[in-house]
Amino acid sequence: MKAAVVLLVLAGILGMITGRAVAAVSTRLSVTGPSTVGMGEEISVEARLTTADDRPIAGAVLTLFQVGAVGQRAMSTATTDAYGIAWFLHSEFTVAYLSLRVAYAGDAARAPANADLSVEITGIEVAPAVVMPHTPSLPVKTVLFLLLGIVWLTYAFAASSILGIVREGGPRRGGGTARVVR
Amino acid sequence: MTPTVPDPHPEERPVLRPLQRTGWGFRLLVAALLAVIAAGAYAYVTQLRLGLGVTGLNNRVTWGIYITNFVFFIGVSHAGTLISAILRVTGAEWRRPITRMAEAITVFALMVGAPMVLIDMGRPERILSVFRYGRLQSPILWDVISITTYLTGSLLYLYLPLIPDMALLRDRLTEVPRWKRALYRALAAGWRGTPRQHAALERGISAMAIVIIPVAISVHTVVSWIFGMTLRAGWHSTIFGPYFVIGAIFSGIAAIITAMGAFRWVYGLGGFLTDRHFRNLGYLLLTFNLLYMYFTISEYLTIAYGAEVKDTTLVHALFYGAFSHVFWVMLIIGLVLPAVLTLIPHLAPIDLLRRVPALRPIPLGVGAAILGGVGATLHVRGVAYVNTTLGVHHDVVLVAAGVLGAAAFLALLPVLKQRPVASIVLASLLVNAGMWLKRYIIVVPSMALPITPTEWATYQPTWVEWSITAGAFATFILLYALFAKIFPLISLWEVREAKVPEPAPGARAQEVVA
Repeated sequence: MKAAVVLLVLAGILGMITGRAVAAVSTRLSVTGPSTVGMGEEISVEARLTTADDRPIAGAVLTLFQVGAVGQRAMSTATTDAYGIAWFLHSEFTVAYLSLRVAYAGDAARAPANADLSVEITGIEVAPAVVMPHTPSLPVKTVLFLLLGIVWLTYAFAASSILGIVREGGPRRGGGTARVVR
Repeated sequence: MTPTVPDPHPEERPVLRPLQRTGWGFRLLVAALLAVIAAGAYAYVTQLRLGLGVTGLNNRVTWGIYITNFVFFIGVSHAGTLISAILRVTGAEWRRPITRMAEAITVFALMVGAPMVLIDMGRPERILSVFRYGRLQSPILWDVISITTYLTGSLLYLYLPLIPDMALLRDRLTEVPRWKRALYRALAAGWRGTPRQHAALERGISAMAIVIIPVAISVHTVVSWIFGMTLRAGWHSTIFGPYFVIGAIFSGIAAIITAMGAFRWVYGLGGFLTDRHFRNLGYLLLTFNLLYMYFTISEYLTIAYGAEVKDTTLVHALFYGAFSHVFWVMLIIGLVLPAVLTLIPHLAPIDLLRRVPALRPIPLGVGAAILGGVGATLHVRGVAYVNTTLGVHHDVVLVAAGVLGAAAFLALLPVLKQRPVASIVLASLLVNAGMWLKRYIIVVPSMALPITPTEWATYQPTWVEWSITAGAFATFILLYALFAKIFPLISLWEVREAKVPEPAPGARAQEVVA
């Protein structure tokens, strides 16, 4: 019995916290557009925003993003009509494979939603990708360290000549040198 | 009573005198240098305490005059390599009296230049990150490895030829302080001049002379790659490796000539540092001057002709824009004037300049006085940079100053023709200044250049940077001056070995024989 009361209280608190989210109507966004376009052509993107039970949402502002490797860039916005449909025209091509995203930010009554579209731009001359290794290969490292090792070994050889001089100098007699250098 | 032993080599006294006596001039010099170093230290503490915000560095121009100093000193360090190693390997006998000064320059320039990177970093403890997280593909790591290797090799290469002279001082300078005698005894490494010791010494020196040349070349090539492997206009160039190496040797020769001129004058070393040494080094300076001109023309012509937007923007800024003053001053004082000065003895028409009335001291002095008066008036009235009421544009003053300077230079040429050593020393001083400016226009304009479509970044070094720079130069001079008080500047045993019979012109010159 106690457990049931605790559960009910917790559920109540959870409901209060998430009340807004629970109250928001879930939405569904779909996009249609060409899978390929020629270089220089415009891309017409149609986006349809509905509720989860497929009722169109009119007057909602949708945003078209171009998605890149390091983030997305807003390109344009459009408002849905009575059928929940909005149209975008996109003409900025910087890559051969374009990733577009239409997003609905949501509001107090409706949940946000987004949908993606990939378009291949044909007619672009793309040089074949050359994979450059980001770290030196083992042979390169070996050669580098071999060269460095040769230098330091030469230093060691030169330093050993100092030892040769010291050894040849020998122990001093009476605190002086055997032969005076003037 | 101890019988007096006659000095077998009286001609070496000018070399040994600075080691035995210290005059007030030296003490004053040290005091002045320490004062400058103290100011630099205070500036650095200020920078450590308050951060890099106290400098002119910013998020766009992160390498200012600190990295300019770094590249400059690394370049100067090539003096030792060229003069000593290359001339030793090629058997140029005339190099003997100047090798030690050159080798010392290498060591001290590296000691002063390398820490400039730490100063630029702002937080010096982050140098540990290079060792903890360093990536082998980073030119920064190559730089740390090559400079460490070069400094170690240079110290060894400086020490090896010092050994016989240390023994000489150990046995000859008995009246110097005890710490000095102990130092000479320790550094002499038991040298007695036996054939086996000579053989060991020659072996070591020869090995170092050969290996230090590629190491030195690699050091400045790697420094150049830090720039060349960055995709920035003005840096991304395939010729930067040899361009930097030639520039380094060029400024290194200038540094050694400057040092030779100073020590010959201060310590009266005319018997060792003869006109022949200055003449030969002058020819080397001219050769590398012409090579550097060739590389400079090649570099700018190529990028300007390609007409990439960023490249042309940079070239325009250098030739006509914000950096044009530094660029043209660098070209004139760093390349053109030194070439003229080193060629003076071969330019017969220079004597005709004596006959030009306008080039006499009085008209030149009057011209300078008038110009100075106009410039001061403009400055006092605060119109030096605007074309206002006085009707004299500041450009007119600058052009007049340039014309007057050129006239003064022309008037000086016949005098310098009679003093070829002074002419070459003056050329080397100008090269030093010009090459520092050259490093500045390599480092700063390319960083200030807008990468994205935006405005140029600004960079104005603050007192902190200037104080640290002055402190660095003072440290270099102090280290060199102290070295000259402890060690002989001339490699005496090598000079004796060569039995150089060349008598130097002038009363001070003495024949040096073994």
